[in-house]
Order: sequence, then structure tokens, then C-alpha cells
Amino acid sequence: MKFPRLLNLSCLIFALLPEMQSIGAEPRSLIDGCTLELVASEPALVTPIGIAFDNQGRLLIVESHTHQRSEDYEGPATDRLRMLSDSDGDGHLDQWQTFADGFRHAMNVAARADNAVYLVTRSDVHLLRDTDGDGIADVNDRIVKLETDIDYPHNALSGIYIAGDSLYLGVGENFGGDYELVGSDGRRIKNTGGVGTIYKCKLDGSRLTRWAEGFWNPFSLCVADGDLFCVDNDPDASPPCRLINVLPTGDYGFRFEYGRAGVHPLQAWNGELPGTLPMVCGTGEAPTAILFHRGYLWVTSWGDHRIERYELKPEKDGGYAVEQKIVVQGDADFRPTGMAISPDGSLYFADWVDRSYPVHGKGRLWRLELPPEMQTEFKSLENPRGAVAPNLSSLHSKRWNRSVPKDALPRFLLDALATGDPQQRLFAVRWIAEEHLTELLPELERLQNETPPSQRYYLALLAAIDWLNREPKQRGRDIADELLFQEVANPSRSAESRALALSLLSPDDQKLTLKELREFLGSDSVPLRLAAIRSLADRSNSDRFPVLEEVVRDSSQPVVIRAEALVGLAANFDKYHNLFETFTDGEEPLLQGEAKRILRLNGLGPLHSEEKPAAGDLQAWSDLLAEPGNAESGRRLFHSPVGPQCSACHRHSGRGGNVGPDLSQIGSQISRERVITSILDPSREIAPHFLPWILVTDDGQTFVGLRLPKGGDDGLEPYADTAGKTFVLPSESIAHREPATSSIMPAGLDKNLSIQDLRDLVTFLMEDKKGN
Amino acid sequence: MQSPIAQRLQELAGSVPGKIGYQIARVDGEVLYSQLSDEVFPQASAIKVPLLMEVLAQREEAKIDWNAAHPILKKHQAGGSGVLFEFSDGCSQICTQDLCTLMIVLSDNTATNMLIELVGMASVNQRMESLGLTQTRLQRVMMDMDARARGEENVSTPREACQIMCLLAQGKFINQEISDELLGILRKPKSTAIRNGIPAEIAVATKPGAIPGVATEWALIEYPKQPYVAVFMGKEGSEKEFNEVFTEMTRCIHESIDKKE
Repeated sequence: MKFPRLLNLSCLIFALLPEMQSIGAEPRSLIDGCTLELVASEPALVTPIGIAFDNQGRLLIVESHTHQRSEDYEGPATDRLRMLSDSDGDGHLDQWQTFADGFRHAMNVAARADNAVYLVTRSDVHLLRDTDGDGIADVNDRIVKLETDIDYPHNALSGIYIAGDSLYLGVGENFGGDYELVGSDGRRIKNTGGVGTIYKCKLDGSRLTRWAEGFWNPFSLCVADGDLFCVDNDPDASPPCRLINVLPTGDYGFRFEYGRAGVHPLQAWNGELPGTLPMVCGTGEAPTAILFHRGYLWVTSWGDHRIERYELKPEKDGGYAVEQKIVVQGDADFRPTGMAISPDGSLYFADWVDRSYPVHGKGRLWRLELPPEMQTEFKSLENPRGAVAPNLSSLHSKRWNRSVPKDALPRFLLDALATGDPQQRLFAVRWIAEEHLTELLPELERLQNETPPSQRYYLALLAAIDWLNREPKQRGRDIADELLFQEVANPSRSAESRALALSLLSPDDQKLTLKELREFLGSDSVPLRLAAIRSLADRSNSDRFPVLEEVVRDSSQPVVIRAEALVGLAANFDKYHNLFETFTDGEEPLLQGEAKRILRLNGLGPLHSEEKPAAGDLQAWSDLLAEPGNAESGRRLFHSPVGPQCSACHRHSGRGGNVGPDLSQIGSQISRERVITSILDPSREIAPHFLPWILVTDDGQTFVGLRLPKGGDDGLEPYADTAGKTFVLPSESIAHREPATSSIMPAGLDKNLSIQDLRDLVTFLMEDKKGN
Repeated sequence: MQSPIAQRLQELAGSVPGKIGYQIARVDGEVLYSQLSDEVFPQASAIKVPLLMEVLAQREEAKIDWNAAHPILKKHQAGGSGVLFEFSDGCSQICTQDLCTLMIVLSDNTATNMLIELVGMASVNQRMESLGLTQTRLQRVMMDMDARARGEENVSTPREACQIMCLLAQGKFINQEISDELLGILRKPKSTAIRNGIPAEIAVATKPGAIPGVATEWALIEYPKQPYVAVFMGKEGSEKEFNEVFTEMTRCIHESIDKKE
């Protein structure tokens, strides 16, 4: 699927932004009786991540010096494990020393009762021991290693939890790269497809086994009353981050190979597909630690600058009812990472401080004293859900264990497709796609002829057919236009299915003719008409304009269809200037409003006399835009060829560009305030995958681009430029590189938009699309 | 008054030096023929059936990974039957699933020792205990002559081995699918005393075992008219002679069942 519209620098890159707080405010506790104090700050510690207390009450802190380290960074050459202890027994941690160093991309730490310490980096787990009691580790055994070509600094090993005689280890999607996890006994487990996975092993790193899968990046783990929980960071466009009750053999739905955005129909994020499990609840953005204390689960949210507390109560349906409280809230300069329970029951948390992903020399350590009465009873589920529903248990067991011999698998899955249970069929469809069993394509195509039980089923089946039809290197992209067109043109499909396929089909697909679009515009189905008019408006060929004009003038068409056509005509503003003028006096308020907006966005029509807050006054903007707008109007503005041209870079519900994040589900990802901030101050925070790099080559050329994932190291680095085009630079030719401090999304969008426009746009973006 | 078949089986069992115990039962547990059913016998490789049960049970409990690749190390290598003994130390890997196949099809002792280390000897015995089996015990790794000399033998009785095979035949070990899967591994082709006494067209899920002076075999004969379990155990004699007698006894039993049905 291609989007031919010209991309330009006004593309709207949404950054994942914090709750708006006044700049410079210190983090504060929001619950009476809690006391928050700053324990330490740079230069005593910098860019801390995981922390843990040992049984002598000493605090171990992972200090990063290698995470996206810039060339001019002046700190130590490697990551360190710092130790903070109470030197004089006065109850205050006051003595710093380095327990161990020499690590790269260190992430997390855990201390055993015998004071052996686990240090986790993205690519290994070290077991450290201080045998002579001098506070410095003198034994360093690497007990687990992750072998891969990928070198992205995180999204691999990070989570660790000591449970009795076992360790749980969390591994992220590894940027989609294959890897092997190798235990101390040499046992190996392969992982392909970019499936975030939780493993279990013995304390010495032996007897590795998979425990659960389908995560993006299970950054941190804990056990409450025997139940394993984790926090999982979210893919680019499939929010929110998740608090998960991790069941053995559970599949939580994410596979990187279907795309990083997390919106592919074969991916699930909240148990949407048969055989996948839901989250307990969403958490704040970028959770980096979870622990169980006083009956609550506690979570740090790096992106929302807060400490969250979750009270879970078992429900009869096998899930949990959840009450979330924000215990500590900070501003954009509060970036909690690791968290630990001190011997006196208070909580300590590390603070990365700055939004910058590259190490920056700042860091803080906080202590939160809790009131004694803050205590609840945690009860694990009496009747927990199984990893799957009973009707899928047999399929699930065989898939998890891959216990069906390869030569018998096609026959086995064929039988599964023949069952009358749509859940079993869809489970089998997903399995067929995972195993790349192209010989079963005809069977899937046969299923496509049956009435789908749901849109999700239809899309998943279509996506599986597309997946199997592709060459391996072409997989992980959108459903192919050829397949979509077949669906659109198939009269035996329901109008809803055809509309869905049409909405995903490139509007410039060669087979999609004006004649067909006209036919769809005459359909009895409004969804099909809407899909057709949107496709028409998005075409790049100018032959669309007469048809759009015809629809605009056709009073027999629903006014929503005519409004879409009117917006489409704005791409040829000069020619249809008079038409817009005409409609400003028309009888249809919707058309009148759209016509006025088009004129205004082109600098014509009545000028705004609205008073607007200063662009930086985010609180005033937030108040101003608190009132709900018109989502449909916002959607037309999002896709409009005039104005902010959001869809030039961003996709929404299958329509738009793909330079920036897919915003289809942003409404369930971040708060309204953060969406507003993203529009008005796009450089305030940039999600890590959308951090532009400034690259200066040997010959003095400067490039700006987003680094693209790539396995191996062949000396070439791929980037996407601001127009979404890929360019490749030899690593050796890059004389200087540094992360850009500004988003490539322009500021100042508030200048041309009215307050109502912004309300409409925000309301559209905030719509919860999960139901769709 | 003994039936002629029971009498014939006793005669055959007594026709060679040493002790022979056996139990033949329908899959519902009804005992057809037995002798020395509660006598404890060394099991040689037949003990690999309880081990395989434990491996599958731990797999279902997500304690072990069916697809993990295990390095083949000198410390696991044991002579006797199998091929992994010939592999160079640390040069190759093999997944859990294939270890199970090798353990049963080739009775590979190295694969067996690797699986014992994986699941733990105590776990196997606890699993047997949980099934009410008090005499079936894994107490040493394969080819551990020192342990054998100390009397640490892998043991069972005809009755308990028969119960295990009936449990599998009834689909009651964990669930029907796991029981079927386990029987599927036992069903893989191999030449055994019982197999040789049954017409080729009838499937037999079986595991034999033999060490000097000992021969055993646990089998489910999947005779469509009347599936049944046959367990033979011999000790203090010649394994070769035991196996010849087991084949003869099998023929005798099968003919009898065939006629009845």
C-alpha cells in the first residue's frame, strides 16, 4: 500500500509527551502521609537505571555510561554498578563506592539473600560476588548470554526477578532480530520473529526455559503471592504500556515481525486474538520497574514522570479489578527508572532526570517514606484464567511446545481449519502465518469465501494470506494492494468487508479505477461510500477533481460524503476557490463550516480575532482545549491537504503516511493534555524510535535522519529522512553524529488553526479506537 | 484352577534360570495373567518410561523447554546403547524433544542422562509417588556401575509398570493428548521381545531394557479388538534367554486373546 501524496516538512511527528507540569517543579507525593526526599544527585550518581538493596542494606545502582553515548561524553568508559552504604550506622546511606564496572548497556540489578548480585545488560547476565568483603566484586561469572547481531542499547535483556531457586528474565523484541539465549550449562533457546519473551532458569543460569511470550519489552518483573507480574512497554502505535499477570506459556500477542507499530491484524495487545491473553491494565508511559510491597504493585513511569500504585482485587471472571493511584508526580525532569524496597520499608527510586536517551551526566536518587497504615491485602486469583480458553488448550500446548512434527504440521493445521469453531480456526490461521506454511494458502483463501464472524477475523485472515504470499523480505508490511483490490472487487464480500479493504488499499492502485469508485459511491452502504470518497480524495491523479466536484454538488449524497469530497477538492484550491466561496453561504452547516475552514487555512476568508495563549503556556492551552470538539471534523482536518497536513506523515486507521508514528490508537495511549502538548511543542520530548540524528560526513555533508533497525554490522547504516525516504551511510564516513534536540515536526501549528480546529483535532485523536 | 494359558505362561517363565515376573492386563486394569507382580526388579532401560513421563509433565508445567538445545557434554556420556556417546565433548547440541526420541528409540543412555539432569531424579520419583506408585524409582543415572554396586538400582514391579502403561492407555496421565503423545514416542519402531511376538500390522508402544542378568519390557499392544498391556521382568538370569521367553510368552498371550475375541 503506497501513499503517493507529497510529503513535506510540515509533517506532524507526534512525540510521546509527559503530563503537563510547570517546568522546574520538584516531584511531589500526592498521598498524605508519604514523605519524599532527595537522597543523592549528580555527580554522585548519573543516569541510573536498575537499583536493588542487598541484605546488608546497601543500595546497588546501575549507572549507565554507554546508552547512546555521544562522542563528547566525558564519563567513565563503561557502565558501573555503584554501591551506596551507611558508613556510620546512623541510618543514612552516605558512602559511595563502585561495586563492579566494565559493562556495556547495563540495565538492571538484583541481589540474592547471600549477597551474590545479578547484573543484567542487554546481552548478558553476570553473577557477581564479593568474596573478601571489601565492597568490590571480585568474581564475575557470566551465567546467561544473548547472542544476536542486533546492538540497539535496550529492548533485549532487562527484567530480572529472583524467585526461590529460580530466576525470571525478561527479554524484549530485540529490535526484531533473531537471537539465542544461552544458559550457563550451554543450553540454548532460539527466538525468532522479534517476540518479547520471559524466561526462567536456575540461580546459576542453568536450565533455561521459556515461560511466556508475546511482549514488546518486559522491562521489569516481580512476584506477588506466587503470581508473576511484569510491566511491558508498548509498540509505536499500540498503546498503552501494560501491567501483565504473566501466566506460564501465556502468549501476550506481540510479534515484531508483523511490524513495529503493533497494529498488524495478526498482532494482539489486549487478548484480541484467540490464544492471546489480555493485560491486567494499562500503566503510565515507559514503565521501567515494578515491585510488590505492602500488598500493592508499584510501577515507575519514565514517560509520565510518576510513581504509580496498583491495588488488585481478584474478580470472579478470573481477572483483577484494579485501582490505580499516582503516588508521586514530577515534571518533565523527573524520570524514574529503577525502584527498590529498603530494609526500613521505604521505597527508593532512581531518576534519569533528563528526557535525553543518550547518557547526559545527570541523575538523582529519591526515597519515599510510606505511612504505616498504607497496607493492603493482596490475594492471588482463586480461579485464574488458563493460558488459553479450554477450547484452545490442545492447539496452544502443541504450538507452544512445537510438538507437532514439521512434516505433520500442515495436515494438523488443516484439520484445525476445518473445525466449526472460529476461535480454533483463527488460532490455526495465526499459527500458519508464524510457520510460513505457504502450502496452506489455498485453504485460507477458501476460508475467505465464508462469512467472517467478525471484522477482526476477516482482517486477520486477509493479513495471513498476504503474509504468506510475500517474499520473506517483504513481510511485516501492510497488506498488499493486489489482495486488497481483490477483496474490494469481490461482490460476494459484505459491503462492510469491502469498505474495510478499500480503506486499506492505496488510493492510486492501478486497478482501482474512477469507474469503480463511482460505483461504490452509489452503493447502499454508507461505510462503502465513505471509504470510496476518501480513496477518491487521496488519489494523486487530477482526474479525481471532477468526480469530487460532482459529489459535492450532489444533494442526494449524505452530507458527510459531500463534506469529504469538499475537503478533497482543497488540494486544487485555486481551481475550486469559487466553489468554496459559494458553500460558505450554503444551507448545510457542515459544508459551510468546511468551506470556511478551507478558505481560512489558505489565508482567505474571515481572519481570526481569537485570543490565544502563548505557545509555551501549555496549561492555558490545556484549559482552553478541554472542551470536547467534533471528532469527524477533526478527522477531516487530519487528512486535509491544507492546514497541518498531519496525514502526510502520520497514519490513522490505515490512511496516511508512515514517516511518523501511526496515531490510530493514540487516544488510548496518552492523555488529552499530552496530545495537546505534542501538537504545540513537538520537540519537548521525542520517542526514542523517532529521535532524529544529525550526521556530518567526512566530506562535510550534513544529514538528518531516523536510524532504521538492521541486523548485523556490514559497515552501513540505514536512515529515513524527513520525507520518509531511506538513505544509507557507510559508518566510516560519519565524522560526527549527535542526537537532534528538535523533532522534525514543526512547531507553530497553532498559528493557522482556530481553537475549534484544535479542539476537533484533539477530540479525533483521543477517540478510543480499540473497539474498532 | 489355573487356565491352560496361565499354566503355560508359568511353565515358560520357569523354563529359564532366574526369576521372571509378569503382569498382563486389559487397559481398564483388569489383570489377565500375573506372576511375582509385586516383586521388585531392576528395570534397566524400561525405567526410561517414568523419566519420559516426567519430562512431558515438566514441559506441560513450563518447567522445561521442549525446544531448548542442550550441549552434548562428556559428563553426560554413558556407553551401552545409543549414539550420543560417540559425540565430541561440547561440539554438538540437541533439543529436548530429540533427546526423548533418542532415549526411547535407540535407548540412548547419554540422552537419558541429559534428561535426568534436566528434570531431576527426585522429581521423577515424586511423580511416581503422586501416582500412588511406591516401588518404581529412578535412583541412578545410566551405566553408573559404582551406584549399581552400591545397590542403587532403578526399579519397579510388574504391577506398577502395568499400572503405568494402563494409565497411559486410558489417557489419564495428565490428559489424553499427553498420554497419546507419550505413547506415540514409545510406538516408534524398534525390535523388542514383545514386538517380535506380535503380528507386524498391530502397533505396539513399548520400551525394553536389558543389562547383564536383567531383561524387562513394558508394552501396550494396540490390538484393535482388545488392546492390552504386557509387562515382563526377569532378573538373576540371562537377558538373552529372558527375551526369548518373553517373545514366546507374548505369542502365547496374543493367540489366546485373539481367539477369545
